[in-house]
Amino acid sequence: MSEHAEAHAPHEHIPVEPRGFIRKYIFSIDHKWIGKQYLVTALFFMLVGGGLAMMMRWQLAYPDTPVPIVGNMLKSSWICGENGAVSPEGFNQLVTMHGSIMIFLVVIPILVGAFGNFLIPLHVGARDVAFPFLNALSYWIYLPAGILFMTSFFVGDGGAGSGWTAYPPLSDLNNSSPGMHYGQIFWLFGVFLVGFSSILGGMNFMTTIIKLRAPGMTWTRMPLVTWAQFVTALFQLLATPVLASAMMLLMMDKLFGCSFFVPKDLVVSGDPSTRAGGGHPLLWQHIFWFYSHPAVYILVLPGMGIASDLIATFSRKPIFGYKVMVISMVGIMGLGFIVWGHHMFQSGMDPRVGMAFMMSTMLIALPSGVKVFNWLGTLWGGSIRFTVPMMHALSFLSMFIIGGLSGLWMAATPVDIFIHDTYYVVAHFHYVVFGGTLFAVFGGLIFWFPKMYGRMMNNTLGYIHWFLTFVSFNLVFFPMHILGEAGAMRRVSTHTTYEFLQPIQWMNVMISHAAFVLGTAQLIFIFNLFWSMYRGKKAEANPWQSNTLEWTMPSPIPYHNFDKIPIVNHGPYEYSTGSNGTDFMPQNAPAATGGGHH
Amino acid sequence: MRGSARLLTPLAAAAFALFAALPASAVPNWLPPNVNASYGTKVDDLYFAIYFIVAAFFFLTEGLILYCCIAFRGRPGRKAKYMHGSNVAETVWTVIPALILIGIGVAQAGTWKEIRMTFPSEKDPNTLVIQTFPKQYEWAFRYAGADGAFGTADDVYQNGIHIPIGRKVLVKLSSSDVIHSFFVPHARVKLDAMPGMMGRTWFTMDKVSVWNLKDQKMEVLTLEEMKSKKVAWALTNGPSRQAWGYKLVEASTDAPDAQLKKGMKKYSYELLTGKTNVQVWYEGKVQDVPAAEVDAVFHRYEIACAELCGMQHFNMRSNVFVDPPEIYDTWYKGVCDQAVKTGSPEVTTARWHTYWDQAHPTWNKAIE
Repeated sequence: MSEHAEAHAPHEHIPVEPRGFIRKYIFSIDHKWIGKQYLVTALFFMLVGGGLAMMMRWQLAYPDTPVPIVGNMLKSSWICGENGAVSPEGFNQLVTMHGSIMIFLVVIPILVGAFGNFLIPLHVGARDVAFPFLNALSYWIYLPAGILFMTSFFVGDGGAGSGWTAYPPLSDLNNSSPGMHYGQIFWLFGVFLVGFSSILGGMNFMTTIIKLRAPGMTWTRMPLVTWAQFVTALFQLLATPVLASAMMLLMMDKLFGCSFFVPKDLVVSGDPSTRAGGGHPLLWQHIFWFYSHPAVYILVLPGMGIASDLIATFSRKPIFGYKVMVISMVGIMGLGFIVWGHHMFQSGMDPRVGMAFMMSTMLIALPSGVKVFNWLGTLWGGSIRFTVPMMHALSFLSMFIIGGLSGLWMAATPVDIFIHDTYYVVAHFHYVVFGGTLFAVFGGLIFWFPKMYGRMMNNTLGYIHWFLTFVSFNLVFFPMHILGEAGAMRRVSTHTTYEFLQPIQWMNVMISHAAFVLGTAQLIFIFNLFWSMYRGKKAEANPWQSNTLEWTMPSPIPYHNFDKIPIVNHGPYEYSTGSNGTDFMPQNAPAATGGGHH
Repeated sequence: MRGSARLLTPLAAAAFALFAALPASAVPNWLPPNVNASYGTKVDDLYFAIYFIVAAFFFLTEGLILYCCIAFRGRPGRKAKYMHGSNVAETVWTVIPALILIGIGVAQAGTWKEIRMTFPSEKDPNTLVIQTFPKQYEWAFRYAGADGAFGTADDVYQNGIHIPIGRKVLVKLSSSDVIHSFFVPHARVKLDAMPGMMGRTWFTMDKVSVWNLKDQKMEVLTLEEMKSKKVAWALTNGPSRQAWGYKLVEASTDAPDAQLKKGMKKYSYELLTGKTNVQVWYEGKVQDVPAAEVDAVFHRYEIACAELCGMQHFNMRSNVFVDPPEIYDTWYKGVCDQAVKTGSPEVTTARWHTYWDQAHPTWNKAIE
């Protein structure tokens, strides 16, 4: 305790809120405002990405039929044909941009940019992140990256259409398909920039967590949200530069005629390639997945952190096995770097290497499984409050279980031969990223909304949105397992082309209808969010009776966060200790009130 | 706590027991019929083995969530139990899943090795070697022809493939433009055609696909089951079947059939005009019968491209016909003769010669 008794001197500098509109609302360096900027921008991109998904679902259910509402506007464009129906090359663009936008512009920015920014300084007891200017820069790199992504649609003969994985030679040879030239180049620049923003953010958050923890905020007193952000920051710092290098190499191929990813002797529609050759498409897959598999964990770890906080708070119980929860996250990170090859089992990669990746992939299921049981242990014996955030947290848990378990089939290499690149995979990763992460995001947003805007989100709308989302999500993505089992390939615009897929076309129709409900339900959330910002019930300081440091401040949180840097005496999950007359114990409560360890 | 643990243990045990006791046939099966005689059953068995393990964990964990939500719901006066964990519990739920995961890993290793590391010898005359060199957006196949060697003048070029029932087929594949993926769902086969490198995959198909004319649907039959049926040929089965009697009709989406959903097709075989008698495969030999007596028509298995390869990717498909041995031999002799007599279109052969034979001469060598 003694080393913490004196608060660090630099912490005592209280920043003054700038007055000017631009410094305050546009180029703010306040972590809370930057978090909100990320949030609103990412939600905008979510609507765009979701809209693209709706168009895909329309085409899959009703092939070559004019798209309602937007079909007329997009007639004879890069996405739709003359009759307003999605064209084959348009479908490829929709697939590519939906995936890229959701991963690079929505989920990562919300989890890391919005939640990380908003919560990390509050959770460790700091007045801002370590490098506030760099933090603003991250956002101002992310935004142009997003604009570049969108611009991809409008240049040359259409947007990038080689999937979010951008496998060469398709993505590499400029004439391989419509959209592979300028559209693909803009996409590459966009990903490169967004990666750059990620690296800056990761560095910033890591430094903040290591250096700016308040007195008494030991590693084992840190909320799991912040631990998850720490592990994610490490991931970003170690993996994203590899992605950046991949993008650079592919850009050199496309812009300067290099051959990092193309062999010699290629011919595209009778037109011999002029590249010198000597490169290899598999090289791209190795580099790309060396980043992108860890990216999958970047997409889910912060969600796990949020769910941990929500489940403990609303079970009114300490998290079950705090240390094991942390070790699992670190374990996921360690193993996360040696499983990338499981995306390449059918690529022709040496099967012996496949065997090794199969074993490491089996093992990475373990830390996730342990976390699931620990969440169950947290619920066990609790006094569960079914608030809207908790409904989302419970949905996260039950959907993440499905997403995790379905991974086992794909890890099993012989089975993967059949289900690789089918809708099975689509179902699997949507259960993890939508069913897992997005439910955690919804829960987290509703949970911390009072701290962001000083008001509560509407409960009734909250329950309606949760219910519609939960039901329609399962109606959309569960049947996709069956589509995959029947052999339906992903990224194919018209399943009815194939005789063996005819019998299950009805399922595509059903899925699409559920998807339209799912999409519409999100408008309820967006409405609730913006309506509550101005009209919601005024929030008290600690409406959920939670322990972490942000709840010791007024809602919304003042510009400088803490009037005085708090001294932390307890772990983050000291609920129902039975020692202070309530069932919660703020982390900075005097040590004498006892109870907690960590 | 102890009370609820006592209640829960038998519940969990019952959930496990229920799934262990379920017959495999009770599991809904959407997989296409499995016609891979070499390792197809092993793949499907593994699929269902994982199914049972996963189902047990699914019902255990989701059941626990539901149980907790009911048993531990917050009520006035209810106090949560203050506890930080249990080393025993955490050890149990780390060690047991670890053993199961490692078990699954070890159990499948043999099958993976059989599929991807143990190939039939290309020098064995019983192995049928087919080369595949797809391009945007069509499949292209090559047989060695009469001399049994690839890269020679008598090679046979095809857009779809015929294979003899029960014979080991080894497919060597690459691509001349972008990545394609050779996917035969019924044979549980998938491998990427990767530009710049040659991949190999193998399989045996032991069932023939026929179109049952009475029920108007595809059927999958063994040679034995076929013997009692009169099976005729159709135009789609390729050249050199002089006695074909039928053609496949795919009714398009614009068909004025109210039952047809958008995009759905209706398949049928039509007798070619002017035909009264057709040649059929019946009781193990080729015979002439009146068209009215025909039970079925030789049908196809589909080949799909499973890797996004550009604009027309969705339409990149082809066919595998599995033939009784004598039929295959007749067909193969026919196409070989044709290759020698009339040759193949230069636009087809030129791509193979430049980008396969000359660029990678070693790919044509038979591998032991």
